[in-house]
Amino acid sequence: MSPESGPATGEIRAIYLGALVRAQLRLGVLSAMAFLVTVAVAALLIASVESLHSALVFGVPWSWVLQAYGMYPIVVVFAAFYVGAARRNERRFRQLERSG
Amino acid sequence: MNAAIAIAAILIVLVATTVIGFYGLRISRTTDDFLVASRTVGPAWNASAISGEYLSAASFLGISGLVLLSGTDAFWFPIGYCAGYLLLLLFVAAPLRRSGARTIPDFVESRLQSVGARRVTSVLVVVIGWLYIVPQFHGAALTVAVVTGLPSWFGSVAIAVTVSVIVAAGGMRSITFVQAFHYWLKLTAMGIPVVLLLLAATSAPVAVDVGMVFPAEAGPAGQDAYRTVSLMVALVLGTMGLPHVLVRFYTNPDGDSARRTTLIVIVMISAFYMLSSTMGLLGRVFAPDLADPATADSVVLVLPTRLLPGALGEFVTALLVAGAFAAFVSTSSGLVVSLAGVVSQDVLGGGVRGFRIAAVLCTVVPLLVTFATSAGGLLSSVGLVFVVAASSMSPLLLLGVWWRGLTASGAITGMLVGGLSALLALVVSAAGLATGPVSAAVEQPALWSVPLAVLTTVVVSLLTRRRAPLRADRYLQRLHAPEG
Repeated sequence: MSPESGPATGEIRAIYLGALVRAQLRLGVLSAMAFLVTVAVAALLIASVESLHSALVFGVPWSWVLQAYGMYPIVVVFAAFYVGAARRNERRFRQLERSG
Repeated sequence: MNAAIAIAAILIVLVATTVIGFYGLRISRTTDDFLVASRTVGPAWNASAISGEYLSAASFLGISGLVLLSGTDAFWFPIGYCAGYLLLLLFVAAPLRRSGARTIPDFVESRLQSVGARRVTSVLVVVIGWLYIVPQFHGAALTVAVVTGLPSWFGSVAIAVTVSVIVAAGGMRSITFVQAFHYWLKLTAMGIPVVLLLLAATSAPVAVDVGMVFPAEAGPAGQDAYRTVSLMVALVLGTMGLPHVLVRFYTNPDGDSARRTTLIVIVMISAFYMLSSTMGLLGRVFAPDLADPATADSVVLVLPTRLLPGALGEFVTALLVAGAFAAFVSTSSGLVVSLAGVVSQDVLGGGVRGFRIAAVLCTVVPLLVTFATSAGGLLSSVGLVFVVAASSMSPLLLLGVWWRGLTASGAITGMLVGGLSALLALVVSAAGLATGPVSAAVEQPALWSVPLAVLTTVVVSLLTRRRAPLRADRYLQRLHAPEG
């Protein structure tokens, strides 16, 4: 540890905080866009692949089953990824804040 | 259907709800207790409560009803309700918890330093809340009429009385217990019947004409792209703008636990929606005769007696009735708590007494509206509320949390332009005035009304930027700074 390092105060902390806000916004926007693309591609495939409508599972066309159940796992995966990533951003900020 | 068993199921739910409500009463003492449960509710409890409150009449009866009526486009509703929590998680869950505000109008006032913006927000919050309570009362009326043969107003009045008593007596703390209990009740009440019905359906397979039951034009290939996308915009953005959803996040101890709570909520409601969607698929196979707008929403209540023998069928129906009533009570009590919080602070000067008066008021008004209107499809009427919430509240919340340039004038104009244009479009569509190519744009306005609201908010904020709140930077940083 160098002599001048210590808990960040005032202006320095505000700079770190500004970086945290930008990092969180970037994370949120990128996650939302990736989610949007994933769901759109899934929906287009479910709607357009002909064999998904003719093939049955328990008497129900695959396209119906995928539309009914398939999107929820996508939402859960994105949510879990985001919670971890947002926490890592905050941990990084705390470390910077402590070391100044 | 044996009416006595159904009435017993309804009474058990209402009594159990009241008892749990009063158990909570013993620990709510101050105004803070009443409104936000003193912010000490842990993530698992809080997530059960949020999910319990969120799964409404639309989720319990409406999803299967609309799947039966129109096919796979109905699945987009629960997908949108669920993805709405993802968006809430990505952009507002932690910051709003850290704002320390207790209601959406509280947040708006402290963020924008403007009493005017607060008042407009309060009015919109109350209108959205009232619009959302009405379908709950309609659902109760429908259930009572289908399973007991009693006059339908009986159902809505029973819900209204239970809700106003619990809320006025216990406030948020007891509501948190009630809601958490209701989530597990609803999951059980939907899960056990689904398993039993699936077993019955597979043990005695009927000859199904797939082309008739699951026709391609009612499947994913037959969906209209504009309507689907516009509906998703409304549902995904509308979730964060619902008055009873955000107030729950203030009860988390900190921002990180607010995020963990949201993740658990997403898992919990997804589980329920998959069960509810299964009911819809079963309905298409075993109850195609109910595929009419007037009867479709009762399909969940009718299926058990068709597939299961005698007493078992009636027991399962009673379980579903109990779950449905849990749905009506928990959503309407959650809404009444948050509306009463807003009305008591803005009109009645705050305090526990004001909160109690406001709670009764916020139940009576929607009840009167219920009597004056007829039940449409439950899922679609709830969908309309999401359109209004998405067009008025979500631009305000998103820009309020992330953009320092937001001003009070920008927020007010944006809210009014977005909210009123959505309402106007829905009125025009309900009156049947729109025909031809514009009818889709009027029936599902979110795809244009939300961008319009955002644009208005941003342009007016830029024009009035000299009146931007002082120290907005400091305030925004506080919203994003981790605690401790």
